[in-house]
Amino acid sequence: MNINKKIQPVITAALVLLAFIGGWSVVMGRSWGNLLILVAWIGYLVFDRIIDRQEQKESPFHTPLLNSLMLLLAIYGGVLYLGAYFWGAFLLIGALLVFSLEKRLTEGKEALAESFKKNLKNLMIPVFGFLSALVVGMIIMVATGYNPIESYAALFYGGLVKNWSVSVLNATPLIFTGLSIAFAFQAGLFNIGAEGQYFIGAMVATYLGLYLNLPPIFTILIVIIVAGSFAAAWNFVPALLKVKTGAHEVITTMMLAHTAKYLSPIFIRAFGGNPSTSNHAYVTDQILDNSFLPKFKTFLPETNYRLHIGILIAIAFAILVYYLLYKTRIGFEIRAVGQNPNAARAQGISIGKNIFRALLFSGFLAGMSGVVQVLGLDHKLFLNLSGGYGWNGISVALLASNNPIGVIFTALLWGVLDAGGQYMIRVTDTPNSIVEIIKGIVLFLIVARYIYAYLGNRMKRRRKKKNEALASMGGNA
Amino acid sequence: MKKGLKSAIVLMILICLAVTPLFAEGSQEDSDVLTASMATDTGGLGDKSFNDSAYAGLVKANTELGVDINVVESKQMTDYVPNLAGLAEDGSDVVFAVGFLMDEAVKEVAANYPDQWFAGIDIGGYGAAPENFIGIQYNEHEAGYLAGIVAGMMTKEYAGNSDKLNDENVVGVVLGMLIPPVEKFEVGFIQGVHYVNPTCEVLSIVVDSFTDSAKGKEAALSMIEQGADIIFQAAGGSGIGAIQACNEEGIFAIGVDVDQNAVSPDTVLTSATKGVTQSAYLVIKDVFEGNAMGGDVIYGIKEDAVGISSFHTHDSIVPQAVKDEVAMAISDIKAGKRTIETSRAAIGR
Repeated sequence: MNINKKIQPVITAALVLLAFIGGWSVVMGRSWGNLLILVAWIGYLVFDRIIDRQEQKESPFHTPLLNSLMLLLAIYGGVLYLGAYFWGAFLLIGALLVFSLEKRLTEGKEALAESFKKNLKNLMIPVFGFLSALVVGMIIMVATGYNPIESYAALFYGGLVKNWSVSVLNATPLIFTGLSIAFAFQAGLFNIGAEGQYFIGAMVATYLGLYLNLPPIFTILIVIIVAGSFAAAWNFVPALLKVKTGAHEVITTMMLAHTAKYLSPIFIRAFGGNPSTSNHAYVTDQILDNSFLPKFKTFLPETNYRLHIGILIAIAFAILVYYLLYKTRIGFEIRAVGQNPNAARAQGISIGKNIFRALLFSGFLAGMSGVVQVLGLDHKLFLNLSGGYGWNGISVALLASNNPIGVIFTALLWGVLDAGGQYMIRVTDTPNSIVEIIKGIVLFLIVARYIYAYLGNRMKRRRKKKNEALASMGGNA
Repeated sequence: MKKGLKSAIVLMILICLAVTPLFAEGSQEDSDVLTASMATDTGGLGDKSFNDSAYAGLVKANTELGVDINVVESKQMTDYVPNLAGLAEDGSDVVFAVGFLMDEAVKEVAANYPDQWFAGIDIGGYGAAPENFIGIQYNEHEAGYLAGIVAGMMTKEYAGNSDKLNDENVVGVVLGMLIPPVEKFEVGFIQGVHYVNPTCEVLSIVVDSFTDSAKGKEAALSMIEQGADIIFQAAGGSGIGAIQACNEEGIFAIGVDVDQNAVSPDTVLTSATKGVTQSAYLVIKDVFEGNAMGGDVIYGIKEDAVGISSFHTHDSIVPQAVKDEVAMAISDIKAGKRTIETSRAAIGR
């Protein structure tokens, strides 16, 4: 069989589309969509085999098989787990095993052990920080007369099991704002105004949701693109000022965040409830239901009725941002500007251009947070809608060391702490402030890591200087 | 070999972590005791008015009926649904949504948990709510009207009775948010003032928050500057700030929802009250005895559920004429002889 090289991307695109349609059908409650995914998977394997033979590569057959099997297991397992079908964890573990197997077969035992070690080391600092924060929280609880074991049991039972869906719902907007801030950080920019872009995204999404009457998938796509673009445009002025005058983005984005936040009451008044039937001056009308994001309940009937697929979109965006940052030229340039602007300029990388890219895309991501919250959960805009997602996004990004994949987990951790904290105050006497204290300590310990590094470097430098001085003195004598 | 062991251990830990939730499911206890719970509005407990008085109803049920009680505070409007749903999921037999702003949230949750009772304070079902929803509303305008009579007479006719009162014929109202229960308080108050004192100027400011005592204080101060010597607050937590302002400037305040004299005994002349505590208790009692029924209940002066509190230490400066006027209004309303409008539009404001 001979397949023209030009047709290859077409077939790949067709297979991806088939898988996407399959996935969408499942999400819309039609289980035959799974069949399409299966067809796309088999199609991919066959296609890969054909190309392989054609190009007479020597890569073994198991690579695409294992890779795609891992992907399928991870996606199904992740979705099940997020939907509170906890046995999805077995599929996730299966995916991990398949991943290890593939790595072992292709790169050998040592590489596998090496990568495990590396990942473990990266995990150590946040895990250690979190555990120490728990210990400090425990001490505070004992000192103030609350039962720490009972409280923690409630906190984690509530956050991880009982109200897992609330944890996931809490995490969804945080993933977006966390990504937004992490992305800007990678370019050395501090987009502190994510809160404002969140409101812009939410407002535009509400406006479009109220008036756009198209088939659901188009409505959702248009709302995402338009509202996201508006939120990105909200960062245009800070980016321009940064490039042209050097005005610091912390100040400019922060000011615009307040502007956006206080625009929202005006917006809500303008699109508020119908005065003849209700007096809801503090909430907008409900958006049309063809812009609602699908709920998990349509395909996993035992899930909480509020859980929407925003979390899946958020995870997809996290992977996209990871890919963009680490696998593309644009991402490389952005990181280069972030790490050392002078070196980047010397390499012929335009700093201004990358500042624009980073701030605008960061704004888009923060806007997505508002979009998903409106389309998926609230279906309307409340006066004090945001739970400080913009500000909390900073913590989430810092905690993940600005790693987009890490952001998923830190946002989930924050979500679990919030949901578990709410459960805790319902079943025990412990006040919710203990959760805020734990969060604060976690953050402090993680940020303190930079202080350790700074102090370490300083000490090294001083020692070096001393040694040099000693050496020169020795020379003189 | 050692490395392999290490990674195996790591894997085991990961598996344990991921699977723990599977086995934790069974740890929930099921008790036979009835549980009543409530989610506060954003004002939270300690607002010394609305939320606290609903909570007092639960506490009363706890001591008199022995039911378990549970309360969770809403920090923002987006907390309403998770809090109410969370309480329902925890197995509460009757869940109270305290405050008009939770209107849509409580109905949504009630529809999704059809086996439990939901009660909304200040929230009406209007016949369209789920069957397990009990709507409790009050005739706030009647309480406001009585407070208005007191304020209208004291600010002009009897201004000489206290050095807290000035010669200007001005009173003020601080409103939390312009939602029906608050609007009814205000509109009733204005009508009460004008019934006894038609030339009196009634200032009013909406502060758009039930939690911002600084804003409430600011609003009260600006009205004091314009000559107000009695300020009625219907603003939850923001209103506490208004009372503080009145205290600092040495004028009278009128409290809301419950007898707020304790907030500032020198300053609070009286309070326009509604019987949230009693009605919350009655709902729990109905559920406890198995007599609960969905639908709307409206409490007013007729049911002795709204009114004004006693004057406490100010009793001596409030002349008998004022008390007579109030008593007259109460009997007129009970007899249906006076109608009090309930919206700003109806009184042309």
